[in-house]
Amino acid sequence: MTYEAVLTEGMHRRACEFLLRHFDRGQRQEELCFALWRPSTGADRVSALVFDLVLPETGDRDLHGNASFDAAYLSRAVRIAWKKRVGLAFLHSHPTPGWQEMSEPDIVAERDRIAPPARATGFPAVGLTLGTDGAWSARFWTWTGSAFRRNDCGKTRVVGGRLRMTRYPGGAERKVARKALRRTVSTWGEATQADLQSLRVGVVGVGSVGCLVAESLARMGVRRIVLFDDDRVETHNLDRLLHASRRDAGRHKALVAAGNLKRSATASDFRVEPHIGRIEHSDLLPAALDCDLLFAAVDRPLPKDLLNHIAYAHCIPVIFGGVYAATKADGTMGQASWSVVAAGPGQRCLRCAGQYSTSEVVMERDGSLDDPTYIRSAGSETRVTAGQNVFAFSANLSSLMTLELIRMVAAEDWWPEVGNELTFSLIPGGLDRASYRCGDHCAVRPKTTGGDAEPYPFLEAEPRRDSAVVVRFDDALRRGRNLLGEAVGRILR
Amino acid sequence: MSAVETVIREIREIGFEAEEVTLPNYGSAVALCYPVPTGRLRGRTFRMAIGLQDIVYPEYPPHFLHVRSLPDPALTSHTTYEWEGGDWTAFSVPPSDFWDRLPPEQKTMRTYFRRHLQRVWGEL
Repeated sequence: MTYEAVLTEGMHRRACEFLLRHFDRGQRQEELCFALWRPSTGADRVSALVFDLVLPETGDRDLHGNASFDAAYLSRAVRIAWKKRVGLAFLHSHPTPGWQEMSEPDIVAERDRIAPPARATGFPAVGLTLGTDGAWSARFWTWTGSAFRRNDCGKTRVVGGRLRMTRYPGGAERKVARKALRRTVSTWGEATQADLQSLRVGVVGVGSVGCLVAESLARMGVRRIVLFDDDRVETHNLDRLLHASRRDAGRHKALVAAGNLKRSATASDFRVEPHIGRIEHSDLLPAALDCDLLFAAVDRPLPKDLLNHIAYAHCIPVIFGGVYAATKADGTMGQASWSVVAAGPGQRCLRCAGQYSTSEVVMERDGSLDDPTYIRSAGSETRVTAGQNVFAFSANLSSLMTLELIRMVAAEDWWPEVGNELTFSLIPGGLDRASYRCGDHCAVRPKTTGGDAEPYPFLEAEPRRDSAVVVRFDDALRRGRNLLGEAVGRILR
Repeated sequence: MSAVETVIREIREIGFEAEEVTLPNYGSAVALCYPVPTGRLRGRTFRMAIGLQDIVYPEYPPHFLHVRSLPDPALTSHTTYEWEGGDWTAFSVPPSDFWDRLPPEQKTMRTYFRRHLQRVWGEL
């Protein structure tokens, strides 16, 4: 299990304002406070979602260049965390930038004074240190049965309109591949490249848009890509599915994409993890929660709702893309547009952005959306049933989605603030970009940093359809059948 | 409190007696006798059921409306079936145009009846 810590941009700002205020005034004075956190648990990673500060009152701490806390302050903080059934975190600042090593007094404070009483909350104590440049270093103090073990967080993420990370310098950092990524690195520099490469990115839906997004990521040097799709390649996909050919008909899209990505990837230790199934299946959700960011290339309301939930409850940004193309009664093109919405803390959620409604989710769950006779007879054409798309549309949309990731990771303070929602309309022609807020009564935004304590209500407990072994056999069998069919066809002709 | 219990309580608060039922192929619902206030069937009372199968109410609204012995409905039905010795018709009529924008305290059966059910019956 790996450990990480996450703060929303709002929480990060609050913490920086308090912890760095003495440095901001030119004083070499550290500061400290306690905070509350909730867990977000994936398959391989536990993240501490820091969601509130327990600020000191008069007499709670001594400031003497360093800073130390009073036992009464610690007790108060533990009591608050225990009552709220959340974990206790300890935050303090250091007078230098970047990742912070722990001094011996820091270790003694966290391991010997904070971690033991924090066990009463049922969660391990989490320590975070803030550098003067806003970089966080973090660790979990887990109980082994006989002692507290320090588990350094591989990453600390600040999530909002941007995705900023501080990575543990002692981790398995790989050198940026020089030759294959020369042009890419020269565009934005080694630091941004290192940030991008360190991401674990999920792509939900590996259809025409999703596989183009994944291709961009692999070529940009992203080292870990996780794919989710339960669909198979069919002949009518071949006009839009990158690298897919007739030989792939019948094969799982996620496997086809994974094979292609291995050939396209520029990172020397690239790994792709294909999952055959729907993200709303409970056995796949943990894999999604291990991702730092998710691309949503799905058109059904239920996965959109789940991804929307993940973006806020688990603070994993979701970049959604959708195409809408419609034909007129005479068969000519009536409209084609596509939109990108970057959802996550501080941004408008997919539901408030009108990308789906709770009613559509309910209808999908009871099968109404899949009943073509009923839909036709009711005279309704939902977003799900429209379905028209063209490779060029997907190419443009996937590029816009990938650019949102680049903006989130590479943007510097001098970049102007721009909206997180884009719409391109082929007819009349043009790209609009805007920023919106969730509605006043958004039911999703209050779930921000809920983590494991905010379970999604509609996970399906369907067992994993295919184990890796079964998929490989099944896949080979299907390829064999296709090849045999082709051979027989040639003979008969 | 479960979705069914909440809905029954809210329906009673607006003056109707309601009970939990299990519909064939549709699962859990809340049934009541409803005097139609509007439309071509105004003044007549029908036994109807509000489908609550697996929803998380009130964030996710009811979707199916089931009506017994409805003569010549003007809306397209989802299915028709026999139950409780009579013919029932199921309609898919979610309040999708306004429910998500409601403040939490207004996501109630009072709002559902006033803003949605009346207009559905006006079209039936």
